[in-house]
Amino acid sequence: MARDLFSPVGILDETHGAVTRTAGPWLGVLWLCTIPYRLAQVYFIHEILSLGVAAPQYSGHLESLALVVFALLLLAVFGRAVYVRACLLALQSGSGAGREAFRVPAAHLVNSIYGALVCEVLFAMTVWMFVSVPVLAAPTGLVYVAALRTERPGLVRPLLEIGRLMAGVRAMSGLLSTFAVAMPIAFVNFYVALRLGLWAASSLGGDSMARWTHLLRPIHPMFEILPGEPLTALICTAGALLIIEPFWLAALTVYVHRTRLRQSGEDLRLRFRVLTGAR
Amino acid sequence: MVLQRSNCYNHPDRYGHATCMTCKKTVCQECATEWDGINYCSPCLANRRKTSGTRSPVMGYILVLLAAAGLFAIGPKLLVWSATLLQRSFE
Repeated sequence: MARDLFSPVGILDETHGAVTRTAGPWLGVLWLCTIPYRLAQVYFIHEILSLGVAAPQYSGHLESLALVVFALLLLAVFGRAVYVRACLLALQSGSGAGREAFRVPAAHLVNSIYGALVCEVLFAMTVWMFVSVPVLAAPTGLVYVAALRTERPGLVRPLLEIGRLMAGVRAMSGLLSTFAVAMPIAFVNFYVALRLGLWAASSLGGDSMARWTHLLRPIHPMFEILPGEPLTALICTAGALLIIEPFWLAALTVYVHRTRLRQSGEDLRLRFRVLTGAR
Repeated sequence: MVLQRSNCYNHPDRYGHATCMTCKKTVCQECATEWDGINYCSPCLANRRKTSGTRSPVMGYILVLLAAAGLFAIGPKLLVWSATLLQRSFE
């Protein structure tokens, strides 16, 4: 147990272990529930970009797409709630979580759905101001771990818990800056992996290769780590978010777990056990 | 600085094991009960159970689900409005 319970480095260290223990099968559950939501977001943004100035004339079509995005968000919320519970069970037991991770308490699930919808609506209201993405990144992830600290459904309590967790400025700013750096790295890696796939598939040939080559072309021949096609950039962003998300949620779960240890005094008991070498 | 060893509030002859997170009293292993990762003494735990048992969560579920339904209804419209506004700023 680290002396400094809320050091971002300590949290990230424990996150690695938590993700390793919960990866099978809970990472699969998270991705199965989140991929449709991310793809729907990509399709929605692509449609807006494709329609251009004519977008307001197709508001009915866009609203139905936005409704699909919101409906798939509910599935994503379930996947995230299960994953966060699996991470917490793994942290508490020191081994992998069993099927009990699926049994998310109803109050936690309802509070997670409510919190996620609040964040999504706030994002929808402020996305045109550009500042909403970094500002809402923390509360959007904290929704699921804050729900763990609630015992019953409520309109204010889940939001208060998010605020309380965000008050740990050092841990939160450390985690946010780490994942802000990880995001472009994951983006570039995802794009390069797609290009490597294209290169490997090019040996097979076929008529569709020209289309894939066009879709995955770089922004500039001398700068081959960024995609030139907007759709590819959107898919790479979604891919990077999918890669980052399990680590982000696990890091926040570790943070909440450590907050609980501090409140219960268990951290001192564990530290004492380490110091005395007791088993 | 000398660390003082605290004894149990209910059993002065026993060493303290935990601090109740509600009344902040030091209690021994027998008097402490851990609930949801947090230590409580017996009276505080009884109070907590009594208050959590008397209030029905049904109203809370109804309120939260109604709020979620409202957000679900206005969310898509807001998203389209905002995205169109953003798209216009790029034009």
